[in-house]
Amino acid sequence: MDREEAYWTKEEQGLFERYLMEQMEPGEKTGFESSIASDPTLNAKFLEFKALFRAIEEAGLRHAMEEFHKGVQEKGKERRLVNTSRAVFRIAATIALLMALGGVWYFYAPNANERLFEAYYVPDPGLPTVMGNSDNYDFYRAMVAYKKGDYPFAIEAWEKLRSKGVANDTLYYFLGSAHLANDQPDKGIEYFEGILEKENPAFTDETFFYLGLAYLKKDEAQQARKYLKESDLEKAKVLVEKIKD
Amino acid sequence: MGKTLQKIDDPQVTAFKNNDRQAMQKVYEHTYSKFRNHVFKNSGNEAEAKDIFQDAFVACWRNIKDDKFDGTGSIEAYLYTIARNKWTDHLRSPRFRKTVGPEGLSKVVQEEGDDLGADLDTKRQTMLRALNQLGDACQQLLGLFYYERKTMKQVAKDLGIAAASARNKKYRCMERLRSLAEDLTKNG
Repeated sequence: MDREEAYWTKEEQGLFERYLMEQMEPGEKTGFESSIASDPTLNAKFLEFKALFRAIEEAGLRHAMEEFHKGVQEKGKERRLVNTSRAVFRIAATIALLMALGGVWYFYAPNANERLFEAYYVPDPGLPTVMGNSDNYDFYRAMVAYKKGDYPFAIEAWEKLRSKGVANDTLYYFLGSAHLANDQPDKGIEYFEGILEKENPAFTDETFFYLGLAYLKKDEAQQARKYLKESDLEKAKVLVEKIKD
Repeated sequence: MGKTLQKIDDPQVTAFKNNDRQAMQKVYEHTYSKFRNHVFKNSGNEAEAKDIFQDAFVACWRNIKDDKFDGTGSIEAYLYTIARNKWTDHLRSPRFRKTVGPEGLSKVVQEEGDDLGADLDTKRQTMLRALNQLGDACQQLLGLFYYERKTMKQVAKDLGIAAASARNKKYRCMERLRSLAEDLTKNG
């Protein structure tokens, strides 16, 4: 790049960007407009700058719109909840009736494995994110969301990376973690098992541990035990002893 | 070029020009739900509604920046009209041709640049492709500076580098982006 002759001078770039970002005083703005009107070379340089500037802005806007859209969906969900409240009421009434009819213990004795899951499950804390480590900007942006507990955002961003062909253990591991944290143990299991299918996979102890937990959440004790036994983590060894069929 | 009719002191217009997140999000949310209803009533689904709406939002935003929004109505109404026209175009595309009635063909707001539409679009796509080929570090730096409108000081702080170095990088990233765009224009 350095050997290439620069197309714009630093001053030109500074001038163009100040114009495009509306940072010029009215007098300066008029002056600039008349100089591009009378200087075709400068005008061509400006138009090229503007086209690229707009592309950068458009990319930023498209990214932001994905966020806006999530807001719309959240609100849609709230509305649907209101709409379904009558249905929920009916279900609640049915449950009350069932309980009165003697099924009370069923609702009050939570499943033992579910309780174990709750006691042992803490989402993986995630990787440190350092602004400036921009090689993997999208990945780390999603990591920031994951650490804040915004699992749907993290999942969407990481799945996008995966659909672009990224398939390393780290991505799979955190996709699995995010799905599990987002109450989707089946999806989590898919990714965790995906890691184990690789040659020399990374994070195996953690993967086995979380796989065990995911099956525990699904109340599949046998599978849970099988995976927990493979993990060398101390907590996995303790947990496996406590699982009831 | 079109006439400049914009009201300089319209706060919504200023907000769009500055890529103000909150203001744009509000317009987006408000208008999308209305547009979505329109699409659902006209044989469309959620994914189509989202795609077409986002393209319309970009078109609306570009027109505002180029002072092609005349400011007579609200931005929401303007955006909705662009989106609805785009939906009509979508329905007229071969896949849908049979299902559209005559009332679907009215066009109230002509999206600027439609006459040169194809050419402009190709150029825009090329620029976006060039940006995509640019290294992540450059993309991030340019995005922070030009889209998010952060000051050089903030950008430098975010990236953990000195302000002078951020300024130099920005300059070189733009040059690099230009040469990528040039290559793409020449070689397709």
